[in-house]
Amino acid sequence: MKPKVAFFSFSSCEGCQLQALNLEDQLLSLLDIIEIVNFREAIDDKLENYDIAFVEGSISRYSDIPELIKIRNTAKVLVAFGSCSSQAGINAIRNRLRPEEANAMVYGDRAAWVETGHAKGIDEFVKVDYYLNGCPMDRREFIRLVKAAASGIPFIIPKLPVCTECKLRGNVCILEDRNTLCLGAVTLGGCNAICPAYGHPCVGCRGILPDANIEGMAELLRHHGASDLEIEHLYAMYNYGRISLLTARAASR
Amino acid sequence: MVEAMEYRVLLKKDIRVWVEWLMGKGELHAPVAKSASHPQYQFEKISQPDTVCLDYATTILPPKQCVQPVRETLIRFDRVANQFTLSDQVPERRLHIIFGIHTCDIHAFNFLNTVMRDGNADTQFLARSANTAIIGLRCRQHCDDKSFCESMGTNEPPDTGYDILMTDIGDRYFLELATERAAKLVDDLSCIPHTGDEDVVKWRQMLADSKKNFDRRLSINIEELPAYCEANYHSPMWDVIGKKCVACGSCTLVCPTCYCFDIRDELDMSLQGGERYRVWDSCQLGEFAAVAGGVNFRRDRRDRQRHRVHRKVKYPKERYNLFACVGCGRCSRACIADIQMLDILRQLGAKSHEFQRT
Amino acid sequence: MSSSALEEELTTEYEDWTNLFLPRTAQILKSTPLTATDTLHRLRFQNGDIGDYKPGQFVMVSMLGIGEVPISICSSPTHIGGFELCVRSAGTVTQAINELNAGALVPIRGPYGRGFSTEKMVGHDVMIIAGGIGLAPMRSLIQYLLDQRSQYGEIWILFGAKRPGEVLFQDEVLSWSSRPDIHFLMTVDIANRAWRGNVGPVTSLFHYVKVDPHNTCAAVCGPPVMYRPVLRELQHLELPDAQMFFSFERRMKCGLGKCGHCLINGHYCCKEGPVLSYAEIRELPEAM
Repeated sequence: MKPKVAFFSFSSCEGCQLQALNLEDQLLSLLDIIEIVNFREAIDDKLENYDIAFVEGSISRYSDIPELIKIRNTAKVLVAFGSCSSQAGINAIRNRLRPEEANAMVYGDRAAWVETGHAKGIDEFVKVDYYLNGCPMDRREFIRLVKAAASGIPFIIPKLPVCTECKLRGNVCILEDRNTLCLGAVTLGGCNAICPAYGHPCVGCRGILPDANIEGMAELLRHHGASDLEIEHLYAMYNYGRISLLTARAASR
Repeated sequence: MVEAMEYRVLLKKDIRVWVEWLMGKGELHAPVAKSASHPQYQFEKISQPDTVCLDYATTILPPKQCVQPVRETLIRFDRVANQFTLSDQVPERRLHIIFGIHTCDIHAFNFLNTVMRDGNADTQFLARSANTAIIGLRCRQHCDDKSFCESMGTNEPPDTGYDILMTDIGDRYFLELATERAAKLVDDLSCIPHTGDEDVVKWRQMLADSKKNFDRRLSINIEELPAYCEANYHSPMWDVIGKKCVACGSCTLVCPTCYCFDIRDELDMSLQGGERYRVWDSCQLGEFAAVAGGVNFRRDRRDRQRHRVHRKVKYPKERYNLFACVGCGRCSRACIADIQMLDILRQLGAKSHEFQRT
Repeated sequence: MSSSALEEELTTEYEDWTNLFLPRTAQILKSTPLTATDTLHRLRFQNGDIGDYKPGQFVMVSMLGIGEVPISICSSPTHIGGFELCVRSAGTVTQAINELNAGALVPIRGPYGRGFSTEKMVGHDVMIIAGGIGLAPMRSLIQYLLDQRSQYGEIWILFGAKRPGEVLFQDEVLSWSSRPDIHFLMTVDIANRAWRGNVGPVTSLFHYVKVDPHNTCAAVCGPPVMYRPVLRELQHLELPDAQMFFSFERRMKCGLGKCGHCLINGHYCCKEGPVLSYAEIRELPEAM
């Protein structure tokens, strides 16, 4: 029996689902090992019973919570799909303001009509089995996870920083050579350093490593000419939760 | 100095001809410039002879990837129901040529060969290494502002471990042929004639003149480094380094003598077959020495950095009477936190003197 | 032609060598759950024997697609017809192993490493100190010593478990405790109501020990936190450094002394260990 796979979306751009569609040729061989029963970006039919749920997007409305819980109760394996879902991602930028402040900024005089609040990762509400972090998620990692889940074996992302994969590609270090502020040293790898490989700095979309040397990183970024505000912005893009940690530590000093 | 079997010369303008000829004999890896605006180089498999750049500063990654690929299949497996088959993975039998490698990197290869032969011989590494021809290049000055090769004795070539050594003597390269394979690597190519007496004289002069160019020195007795490491085991210097280090692993990944690896499995799309592969790993990463149950034998970055340094200048010296640091300076250049090997070794030396005084 | 000349140079020497990473196939003869997390597996290689090994040596057990883990052999080489592994479900690979039943085929490499120096123990009193899952490799040693009981002097077994319900090899433990030719002492960290024995760390048992230190060898295996306190007790008894043997646990990936994960300072735990005498590790700050 091929496991049934469903995709769900909360507050997000649905770019991770799109990434799955972008697999193109590999998508067909994936369909040999799984059956997709719910995939709004690709198919109309829906089935209410599934084994593996990929949940995209962060939770920003109370009304999302029951739906998320229902997914958790149905799926054998629940995957946080992308940064929004894994760590509230870019949506968490709004968390620095009070919900009504942010809503007023975005929706103006219609703010009261919109139900939306602070963005949270899905693991604040349900148990998550696997995280496919990244904005968007990494397609090779997605395939690896599907293979693991379909054969009932655990899926593990080695806890390596982006720098590791960047070095192994033989890339010129953009931080050292172009003084481009880059978070590759403290960000979870697995993306094969795709951004630095194309000249873009790592902005931490896959999340800051749990044991990262945040103070040391800030120090070396300052050494490369970054102001504290720039550092804060760099972290805040995808790791608002961690940046508050950083500022809290700085305040306590 | 070990006498070469034979000397030849090659006009610089003819490098292209030789490279192209060699490309027909095996897979040729040589330094190429990574970007036009920055002096950064990398060993790459050459498909265009013109891309070879012999006037280069230390490459980002060492040439070891030609012999030890970043990812390498160890075994293949196939699972059907409760059964499985396992199959061996033998490296392809073909000639690799590493062209233009600096003498420090030749020393590093010799070290890796010693390690891989020790105890359980790593046959996959050794098979590839044995079928790799080394065409080295003598440096005439520091190639990089982080290198301290003279102090580690690696600005001079080792006694063995290369087939041919080239020296830039102006308009031409002077070639020392050291092995029987070397003769076959130059064959009777008309562009690589035998040397005239004046070439030999010029070459010897060039070598003598180059010595003074290697002026970045440790100024400590390197033979004492294992003792210095011992004396400074609990030195606060490691706390300072540990605070700076962001554990990105770059220092070890760019090191020409690092050989640690991780082993992982990956399934094919069929979910039945798959492979077990090894991939370069780094002792600087948090989970490197962690075991089940949350125990980590080198949890602190301080301990991991000390471990790295000891694995360069203490443990291999005690085990093989070899240093695993060849002074190439790659780790220092790759470190975004500005942790410098030269500084660490100098500090070890200097601090030990203090210990002795007190 | 010169091209073929270079090809002739290519060595084929290593192609006939055994790939050190290629496991052999073993079959599970019997799987017996010992506790909620530990299962004892009896195995036999399909082609040939496990070969000679010492108590304290380990094998690398594979779950294809998941990975490989080092597991100590917990049966004595004197017991023929297979070997036993006691596996604790602590990670993904060990969990998968413990889901297997009799008849399952398992790829295994090894045995690897250096075990307990049983020659050195001949004619000596032997003190065995085990904590928790550390009893597994020690069981191999205990069986070995008991199979050649006359060659050794007094045998002391000091065993500490977390809870009475987590005691491994309960039948054997009971039989050891009732043998007149073994001094068996046991303690638990956390007792239940029925427990009538000692409560406290394994070091609390040293109070009852009386040995002639110069004629005694000690063998220690347990969780990492146990080693320093036990060492202090052994030093207090004045055992010579070269007669204290510790079995170390480290992360091991290759088991061959190459991958670097298991290094204790400059010593490969998988190759020079996992059993090392205190004389060998005295100068290694990372050992304990």
